[in-house]
Amino acid sequence: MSVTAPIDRPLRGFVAYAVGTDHKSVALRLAGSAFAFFVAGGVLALLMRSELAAPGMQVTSRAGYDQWFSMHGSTMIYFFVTPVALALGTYFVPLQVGAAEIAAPRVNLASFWLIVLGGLVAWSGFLTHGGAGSAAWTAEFPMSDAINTPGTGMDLWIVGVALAVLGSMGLAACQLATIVARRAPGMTMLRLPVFSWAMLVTCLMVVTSFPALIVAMGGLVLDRHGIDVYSGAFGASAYQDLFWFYGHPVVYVMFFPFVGVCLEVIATFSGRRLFGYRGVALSLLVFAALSMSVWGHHMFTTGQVSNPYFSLTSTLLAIPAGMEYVAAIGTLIGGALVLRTPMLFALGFFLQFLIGGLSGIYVASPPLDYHVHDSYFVVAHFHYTLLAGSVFGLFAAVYYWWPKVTGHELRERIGRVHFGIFVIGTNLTFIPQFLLGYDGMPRRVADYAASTGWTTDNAISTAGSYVVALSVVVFVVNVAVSWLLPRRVGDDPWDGQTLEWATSSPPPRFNFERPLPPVRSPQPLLDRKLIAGGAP
Amino acid sequence: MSGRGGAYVVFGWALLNAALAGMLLGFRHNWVQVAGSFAAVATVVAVAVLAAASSGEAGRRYLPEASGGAPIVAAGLVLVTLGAGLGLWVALVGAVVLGAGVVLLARERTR
Repeated sequence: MSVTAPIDRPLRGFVAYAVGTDHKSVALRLAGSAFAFFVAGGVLALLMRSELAAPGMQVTSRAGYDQWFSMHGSTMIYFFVTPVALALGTYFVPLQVGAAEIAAPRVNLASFWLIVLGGLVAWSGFLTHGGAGSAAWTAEFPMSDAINTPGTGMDLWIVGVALAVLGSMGLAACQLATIVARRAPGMTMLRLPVFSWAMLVTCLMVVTSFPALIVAMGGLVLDRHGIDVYSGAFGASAYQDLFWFYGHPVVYVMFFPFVGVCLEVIATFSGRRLFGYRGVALSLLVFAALSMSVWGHHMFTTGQVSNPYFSLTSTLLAIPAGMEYVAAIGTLIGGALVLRTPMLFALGFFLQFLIGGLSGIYVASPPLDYHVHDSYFVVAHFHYTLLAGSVFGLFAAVYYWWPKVTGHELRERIGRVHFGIFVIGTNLTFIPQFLLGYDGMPRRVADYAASTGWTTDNAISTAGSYVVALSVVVFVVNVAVSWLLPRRVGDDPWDGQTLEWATSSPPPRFNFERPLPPVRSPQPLLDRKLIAGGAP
Repeated sequence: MSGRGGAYVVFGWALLNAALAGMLLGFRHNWVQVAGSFAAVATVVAVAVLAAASSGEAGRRYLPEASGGAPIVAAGLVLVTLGAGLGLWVALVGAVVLGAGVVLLARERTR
């Protein structure tokens, strides 16, 4: 297969940013934009934690706090973790499958712009008279209707979220088409790298569940402008069914890519093939299918869903999750472990996500969920999976693939400091929140009475949030030092196993200038090294 | 590689989803839940059919270095959807921008 494109001169500056179609460039722009949203959402988190550090309203009003937690959650889910997870796939799926470019590069570019513009539209709500959207990231009806959340800010939130979700669907469709139709000769589906398997199921979930959010938001806009959509006895429940049909799979969209990359990192830094590769591929498919059938567990307390069905499917999630942990542990046992920063973050991902996952089994039981629903227990649960889980996986990916993207390395010592501070910060922030939630502190409250006895745990959690912020500063310092004082590394500094390590760092415009190694397994580079006799 | 391998995987996933959606019918449910579940199954089957139809034999393909039409289409979509909240005039401006973007994309593809 040969490809060609007329190139007059390389694109530079703003022009390249606006119209360049190279999937690698689009992915980097998307990741950079998502990181900017992460910082913005993180600032909101620090403001919220500052307010909750002690009883009484010290920082903002209750209405202001409503906007903060709504925009914090919305930013992190719609404009940071989901886009950055898809950005990893946008960059690395074509490289891992041996393709010259992603399928439908113009759709890919348009999707990037939808996400960025959607985020800016949602945030522009802060500039309106009534402020930004303030009905939480879920915008549940009737809290989000025109009576309870009036004003243009909420309308801008709805539009911004719908655009970002539409953009995510475009990115996923391009990656799906690339995996299905652009694989290198010899790369059957059971020779796909595990990260590409993870992106395959991620993209399947995106294209099948994300339309429900578009429908939900469309109905909400109509309802806010005079057309009764969610009124009536089952209206509010219908909104929740539609929203959570998207809202549960999206948390797995924010998880699977990082599982994939962490399994690759563990295999690479153990110097051996991934244990149980076929089991992992099967577990990802089962995990993704189950994720499409558990949305009702967010509605246990509404009385509008079958608690037995959704409790059963939710508890079954432990089986494929367990299979992935077995694969990780099985790869580590007997491996020649190299504890570089990517490996530290990958191990941290599996350990910390476990806390979030086990607390998820707890809330999968309706009677237990009735006690902790809408409390800080749930807040701690999903932050352990997302921040203390997926973001650890994200940093594992960044440290692992940074040399491939830039040709330079991130500093190892600063990376270890970053890891250590991040571990301390995330646990200091969210362990107290389990205790607070179990003790009855509701989520989404701007204040609490001193007589509740919640002050100490809240103060500790606030301190932890500042430690998390410090860890992000350390990461930014690492990036700055590595950028200003670059240390060049070779094309394959980690002794990688998959095709992206077979090309130069950074990769050329059409990814591979040298002939690809033969693909006879999910680890073609490892095969080549074994044949050459130089494998570790 | 041909898309058949991917089609088998996607179709297998559709069967898993169909089994779980079918299981829901044995429990208390409402029409939104059933419609959503089986609409998802239908979507996955459609993806499997598209995958099976893709041959993977691209031959010589023109890959763009840049696309002015793509960001303009995105901007047009943004304005059209903003019209839902801000007013019809915004949606009309958006429709014009969207149309311009589509025309530009069509010209890019025929180069």
